[in-house]
Amino acid sequence: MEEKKSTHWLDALSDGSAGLTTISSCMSVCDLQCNNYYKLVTAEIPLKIPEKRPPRLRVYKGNQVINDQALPGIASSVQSLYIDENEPKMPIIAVSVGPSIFFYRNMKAYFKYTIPSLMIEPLEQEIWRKLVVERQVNYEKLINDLKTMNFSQMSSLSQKLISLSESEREEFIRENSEPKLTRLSTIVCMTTIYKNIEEEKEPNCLIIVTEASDIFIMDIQNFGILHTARVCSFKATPDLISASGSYQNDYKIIISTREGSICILRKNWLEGREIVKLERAATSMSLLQIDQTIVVLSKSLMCYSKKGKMLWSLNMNDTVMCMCPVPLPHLGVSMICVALKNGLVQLYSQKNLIDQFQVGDTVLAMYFGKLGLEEQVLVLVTINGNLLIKILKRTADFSNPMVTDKKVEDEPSDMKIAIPKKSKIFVEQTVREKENAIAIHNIFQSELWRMRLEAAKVTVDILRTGDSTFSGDLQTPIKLLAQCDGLGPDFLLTLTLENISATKIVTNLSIIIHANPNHYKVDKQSVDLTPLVPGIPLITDFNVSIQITSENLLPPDMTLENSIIRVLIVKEKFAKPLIASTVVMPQPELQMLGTI
Amino acid sequence: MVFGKMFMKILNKDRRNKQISILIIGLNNSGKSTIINYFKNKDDRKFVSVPTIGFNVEHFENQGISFTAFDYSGQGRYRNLWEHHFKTCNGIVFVIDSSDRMRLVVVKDELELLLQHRDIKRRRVPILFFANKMDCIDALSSVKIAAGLNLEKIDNKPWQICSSNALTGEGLQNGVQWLTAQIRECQQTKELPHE
Ligand SMILES: Nc1nc2c(ncn2[C@@H]2O[C@H](COP(=O)(O)OP(=O)(O)O)[C@@H](O)[C@H]2O)c(=O)[nH]1
Ligand SMILES: [Mg+2]
Repeated sequence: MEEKKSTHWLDALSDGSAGLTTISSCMSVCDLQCNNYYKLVTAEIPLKIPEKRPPRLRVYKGNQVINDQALPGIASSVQSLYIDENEPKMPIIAVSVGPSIFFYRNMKAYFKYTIPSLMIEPLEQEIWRKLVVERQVNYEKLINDLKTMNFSQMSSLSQKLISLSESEREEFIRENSEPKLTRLSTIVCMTTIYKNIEEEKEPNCLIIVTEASDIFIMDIQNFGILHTARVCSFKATPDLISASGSYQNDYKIIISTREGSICILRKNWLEGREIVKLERAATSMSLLQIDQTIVVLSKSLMCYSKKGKMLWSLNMNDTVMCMCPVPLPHLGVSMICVALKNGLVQLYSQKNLIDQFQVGDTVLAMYFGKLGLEEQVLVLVTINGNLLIKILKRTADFSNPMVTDKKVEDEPSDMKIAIPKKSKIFVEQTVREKENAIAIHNIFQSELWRMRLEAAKVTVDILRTGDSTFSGDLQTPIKLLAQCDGLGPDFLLTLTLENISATKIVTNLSIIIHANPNHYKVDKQSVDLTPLVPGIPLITDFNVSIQITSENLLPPDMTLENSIIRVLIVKEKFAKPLIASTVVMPQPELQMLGTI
Repeated sequence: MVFGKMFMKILNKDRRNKQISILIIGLNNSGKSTIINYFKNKDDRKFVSVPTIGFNVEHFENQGISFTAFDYSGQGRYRNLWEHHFKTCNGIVFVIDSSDRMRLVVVKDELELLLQHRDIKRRRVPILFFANKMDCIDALSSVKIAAGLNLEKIDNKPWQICSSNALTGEGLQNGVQWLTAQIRECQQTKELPHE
C-alpha cells in the first residue's frame, strides 16, 4: 500500500464532533469582523430528510462556533461580498434559500430579496379574472380549464386552488379577490464578481442563477439588477457556477447544467453559449483565475479552454465527490484538489499527481485559501460531519511529482503543423518588400532607435527609483541584503550578496555605492567581488559617516527622505545593473552628535 | 528597569565589547512588536533601524545588546534571510499567541524546524517562551501549550515558558530575568576552557 500520509500539511483540526454537514457552495470564508482573522461562514445542509429542526447558519473561528442561527430553509449558496469602499471594509453575507436571498451584516439579517416572478400565462390570468368577477357561476368549468394547464407552469396561487377541496374553494377565491399571481423559480447557485477594481475587499456584484435558467447580476449597494441574461438558448437546468472579472471592465460567467452542458456568458451578452457537452453532468466546476481555463470534475477530471477545447483529462480511480483549485503562486504551481468517495484526497498539477492523503470518510465540501491568520489552508467537511483544517507547511515543496503507475489519458492530439501555402497575400507581400526596400529599411532603423531609447529610459528609471533586492535577470540570480548598524554619525553598512541559483557561479561582480557626498562619507565607492558561489553569501562592510558640520550638526539639507544610500550591483560588460537598491539610513542619535 | 539595563548589570560589566544578540521570533500577530515596544518605551529609547528587505523584521540595539524580531510568515521564501542570525544569537525569545488555537500546529512545526536547524541543534541556547495574550478568554494555559508543543522533549537547552500580557507587561519581567540568568551562565561556561 502506498504512503497515504502527506508531509506537506499540518493538521490544525480534525473535529469529529463538529456535526457540520454542508457542500462547497455553502461555505464562504471572509474577514468577517475586519480584523484580518478570516472566518468560515457556512450553511448546514441536512442530509437526513426530513430533519425536524431548521438548518443552521454558523460562523467558525478556527474550530469554535462563534455564531449560530437558524435559517428559514435549506440554502443553495452562501457568499460573502463587499458593498462599498467605506472603511472599515466589512463584508456582508448573502444566503440563498428558495427564491430569496437573505443578506446579513454583522451576522444579523437585514434584507430579504426575492427574484422577479416568471411569466404568468394569459390563460391563467384570464381564468382568475373570471373567477373573481363571475363568482360561483362557473367555478367548476374555470377550475377544470385551470387543470388543463401544466402544473409546474402556473402560479403558486393556482396550484393551491387546484389542490383544495370543493368546499374550500369559494372561501379561498374570496380571500384572494385581488389575486397576486406570481411564479417564482428557485435560486440554484450564486457567485460574485468585482464591481470595478479587481482586488480583494473591493466592492462586488452578486450573480444569481435560477432553476428557470435566468441569470441576474445584482448591484448589492441598492439591490438593483444591473443585467439579466439567459443561461443558453435551449432548455436546461443550471447547477454550478464560476465567474471571474469585474462588471465594469470585463467578466466571464461559466455555468454547468444538470444535462451536462457547460455554457459561457460574457459581458453584455443576453444569452450564454454552450461550449462543452459532457456525457455526465459535472459534480464540480471551476474557472481558474490564473489561466482562465475551466476545470470540470465529472467522471474524470478535465480541463477546457474558454472556447471549449479539451486541454487534458485524467481518469479517476473512484467516484468523485468535490474539488477546489489550490493556487500556490509562491511555489509557482497551481493545483486542483480532488476528493474521492473512498476518502482519498488528491492534489494534481495538471495531470500529475503531486500529493495525496487519506481522511477517515468521504469529503463532501472543501475550500482552499485564507483562514484565520494563515494564507494557505485546506478546509474539508465530510459526510459524517467532521470538520478538518489542514494548513500548508511553510516549507512545503511540491517540485517532485509523486511516482504513480497511473496511466495518463491520451491527449486529444492535433500535432499537425500548419505550413502556410504560398498564398496570394504572401506573393504580394514579397513584391511589396522588393519595391519598397529602402522605406522599409528606414522604418526598421527608426523603430530600432526608438526601442533603444526606450530601453535607456527604463534603465535610467531603474537606477533612479529601483529598489529591488533581487536580481531580475535569470542568468544571474543573486540576492542582496543590507543591514545598517551603529548609533551614528558613524554607521556600519553590511551588504550580503547571495547567489540563489542552484549551480551557476556568478563572476565579475562589483558593488557601487552611491551617496550624496555632502551627506555621507563612505570608505569605499566600489568593491570588486570574488566569484559568487551558490549558497555561500559574501559579506562586505562599508564604513559610512555622516558629514557633520563644524557646529556638530547634521548637513543642512539632510532630511529623513534623502537619508539614503544607493547600492548598485553591476556585472562586467553589462550596461544595466543587476540590482539597484536603496538603503534607508537611520537618523543618528542627537546625543551622540553632541558627544563628539 | 528593563531588558537593556538588566542585561547591562548582569552581563556587560566585564564584556563591554562583545555584542549579545537576542532573537525574538514567533508567528505574525503573536505580539513580538508589542513586547519590543514595551521594553523600548520604558527605557531611554535608542534608535530603530528598519532594514531594506521586504519582510517583517524589527531591530533595536540597547547598550551592546541587539534585539532582532522576525515574523515567521510568508511561505518559505524568506527563510534563509533570517536563519543566518541563528549562528550568532545568544538567546531566543519565542512568542506564542495563546489564543490562536488553530495555529498551535504551525507554532509546533516552526519550533521543530528551529530546534533541528544546524546552527541551533547542538548549541546550548536558552529559549524563553512567552505564552502571550494570556488575558484573552480563549487563551490556552502555559501548561497546555508546553504539553502541546512537547517542550519537555527539549533536553540540551535551558527553556522556560511564561504566560504574558504584552499590553500590560505582565509576565515579561519574570521571563527576561530567567533569560538573562541563563545567558550569563552559558557565557561563563563557554569561557572556562580559555581561562
Ligand atoms: N489581548 C492581547 N493582545 C495583545 C497582546 N500582545 C499583543 N497583542 C495584540 O496583538 C496584535 C499583534 O501584536 P504585534 O505585536 O503586532 O504582533 P507581531 O506580529 O508578533 O509583532 C496587536 O493588535 C496587539 O495589540 C496581549 O498580551 N494581549
Ligand atoms: Mg510585528
